[in-house]
Formats: sequence, structure tokens, C-alpha cells
Amino acid sequence: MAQPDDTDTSLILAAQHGDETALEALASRWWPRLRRWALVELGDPSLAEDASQDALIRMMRHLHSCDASRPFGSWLRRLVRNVCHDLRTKRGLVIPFDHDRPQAPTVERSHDLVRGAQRAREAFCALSPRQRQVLELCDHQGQSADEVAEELEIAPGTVRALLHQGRSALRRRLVAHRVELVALLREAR
Amino acid sequence: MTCTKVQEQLWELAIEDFDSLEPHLGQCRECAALAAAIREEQQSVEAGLAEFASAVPLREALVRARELKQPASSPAPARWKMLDSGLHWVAIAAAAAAALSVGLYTTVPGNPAAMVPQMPVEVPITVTSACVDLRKLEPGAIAGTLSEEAVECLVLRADDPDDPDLVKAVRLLTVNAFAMGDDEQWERFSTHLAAIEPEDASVAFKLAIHYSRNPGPDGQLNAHLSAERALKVAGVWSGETYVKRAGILHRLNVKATRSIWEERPREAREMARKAALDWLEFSVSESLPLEAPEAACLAVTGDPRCEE
Repeated sequence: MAQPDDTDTSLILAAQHGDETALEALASRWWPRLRRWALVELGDPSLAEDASQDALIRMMRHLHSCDASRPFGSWLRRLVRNVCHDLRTKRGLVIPFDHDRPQAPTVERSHDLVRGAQRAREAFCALSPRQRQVLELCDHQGQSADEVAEELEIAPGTVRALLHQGRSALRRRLVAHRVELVALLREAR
Repeated sequence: MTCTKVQEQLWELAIEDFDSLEPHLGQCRECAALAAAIREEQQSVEAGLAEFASAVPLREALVRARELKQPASSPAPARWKMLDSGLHWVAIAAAAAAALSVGLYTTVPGNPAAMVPQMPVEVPITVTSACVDLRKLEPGAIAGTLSEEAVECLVLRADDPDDPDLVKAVRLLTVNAFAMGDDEQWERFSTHLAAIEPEDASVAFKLAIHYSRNPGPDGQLNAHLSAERALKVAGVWSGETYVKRAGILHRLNVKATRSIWEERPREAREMARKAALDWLEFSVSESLPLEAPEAACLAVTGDPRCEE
């Protein structure tokens, strides 16, 4: 089980006693990860912008209830997940149809995208929410399938299946724009 | 190992496990090119996510957060939303009586008839002795025999976001309505419960089934939203319960989204497509029969790869 980071612990305790500088330092340590998790959860950059802002506010508001003896990352990730869930539900009620959802990039569309990082991000966002969560936790944060299963409260077998499906879908989309490689693979068959 | 086998693994293996394929990659130009491309693209994904993560400086977000942040104790705007047309007069009457008693209005000197409003003050919701001890109300709620006074009192508590026993009060109302066979009230209280307890998968599950069976004007949309909400937290179930309930939720989500899609062909296609793919994905991961999910996927996406 993950252990709490000492720096986080002292910053949380200080912030809980009203130290604004500690609160800012804590937010500064976690802000990029908070934004990233929001994007992973929602798969939509503009929604993720709103969710990050909401999550920061909720973090500031509820920090007093955070147990400093436990890993802050787990607490924050749960908070981000709840914010995203609320936002999705709220938007779902107001705008029931998902007009803005990014489409999976096609070969033609990929050529139009100047930056590889943006194209890759779009391909990642086009995966299912569960696939995104599992890929982020396993491939980017290095957690094991069992750890991810525990965190997401799903069966380890499901995590492994999602991981394989997610990687395969993502990689196939990503290499689809490499015309020469696709031709080479086709030739070799 | 054949190229087909190696390429299958390249699509699914973790990058760090590519080393185990080195003997083949060292000899095969195509597979080596694919491995190199995947490695490179993986870095692009990381760069893409990192770029988004650092796009907005914290300073800017903190300024906005401080502008928007309100104390947790501030009254929620939806405080009265639980009250129906009958009960809200009770609340208004109570508020009016309390307002007069705390001197919300004051008289103008020399003109006793004129009333000048003072600054508004927050009127505390009064919880009568009818629902102070929630445990005592449990037997009555289970039997569906709570008194009208107790129900009204519980509704007031259920509408107070700062009440520490808010959830318990709503649960009692839900159980009582269910035992009475009052579907309308059950739906109303369950919806409220689902909103304040989004992690409660059972409530969302029951609501999804309820809406699916009772499609009102927004029934299918509500069924879809409840099913999605329940699936999000379905991990609280385990083993057979998880597989059975999640399967039911996926099935009714597909039914609901297809029905919405039929009414709004342009807007709801993506929703129907996602529900069908999610069901298929779930069925594959749980090794369930694939005929129905595949047929649903094929019908919505028109993609024969659903069967692969």
C-alpha cells in the first residue's frame, strides 16, 4: 500500500491550520496531476478545464477533512473523480447529447493536425473512460493490475482485459497516420 | 515466432516488455518498424497529456478559485427543491412566522402601518420532535406507516444540506414510500438520494430499472443517466452480483439509448454507439455470451468488426 509523502503531510497539516503558503505549495505540487486526471476521467479538454477548476476549489474547501496520515494522491484522485462525475451528470442533464466529444482521429484528420502531442492526446481521449483510467494508472503511473483493480473497485481480470483492449485501440489509431508503416505492414502480409 | 504473433503482442504488451520480442525484432524489418513506431507514439501520448496538465498556471487557477470559493456553510440554492407544492406552503408559513418573530420587518417611526424590509436573515428550518430520533422511525418506515407529520418533518431535514443525518432522513422517506407502494414519492425521494449519495450503486440501479419500466416523457433519458451512474460505481458489487447487475445495466442502457436515438437520430447516435460498445466490452471482459451485445453493436455502428 502506498505511503504518505512527508512533504505532503506537513503541508496538509499546516494548511489545515490556516497557512495559506502551505496550501499554495500543496496545490502547486498536485495541480498538473489534478488537471491530467480530470482529462483522463472526462476525455474532453474543455470539460476537463472546468473540472480542474472545480476540483481545486473543492480541494481548498474540503482539505480540513483530509487525513494527513494517508496518501494525499489517493484522496485527491477520488475528489477529482467525484467532481468529474458530478460535472458529467450535470452536463448530462442540461445537455443530454454529447456534441463536443472529440472524434477518433481518422487518417485524413491526423494529417491536418500539426502537433503529434495533440493528435496523440485526441486518440487517447477517444478511448472509453475505463480504458483511459486503466492505461493512465498502469502505463503512465506504473501501478500493477491488482492495485488498479483495488482502486477502481473492479475485478483484476477486467483491468487486464481493459488494458490490452485500450493499448491495442490506442496504438492502432496512433500508427494509422504513418502511411509508410501501414503500407510496409500490408506488403509483408 | 511468426510476424502475426509478434505484431499481436506489440499491440497489447507494455512497452517495457518489448524486450522479450527482441530476438524476432532484430531480424524482422516490419515488426521492428512497428515496435519503434509504437514506442515513439507512446511518448507522444505522454507529451500530449503533460502538455494539457501544464497548460494553465496554478496562479491563474488559484485567483479564480479564491473568487469562486464560498464557505461550505453557505446555504445551498437548492434548499427548497425537495418541497412539493403542498409542503412548500408549510415551509413558507414557517419561514414567514419566524421572519416576523425575529423582526425581519420593522415599522417606520411616525407611520406604524408602513413596513420596511430589513436585511434578509437566514431562517433556520425547524425540525419538530416528530423526526428528531431517526432510529425510532425505522420500524414505521419499513412498514410504510410513518405519520404525515413525521414525513413532513423528514422532508424538511432531507432538504437541509447541512443536516448531518440528511442521507438517513432521505433513506427513511424512500423506504416508507416503497413500503406504501407510492411510486411517485419513491421516485422523488430516490432521485434525491441518488443526487446526494452518488456512490450508492443500488439506488442508481433501482432507478435505472424503474425508469426503464416506466418511461415517462424523459424516462429513457433518465434510465440512461441512472444506468451510467450505477455503472460508474458498480465496482462496489463483486463476483456474480457484479456481473449480473452490471450486465442488466448495460442491457437497459443500450435499450434506452437506442430509443433516444430513434427519436433524435442526429444527436444521440454517439450515445447509442458508446452504450453498445461498452456492453460489448463488458461482455468480452467477463466472458459472457456475445450474440446480443454484438448484434446491438452492429446495429448501432454498422461495423462488422463488432464480431471480431
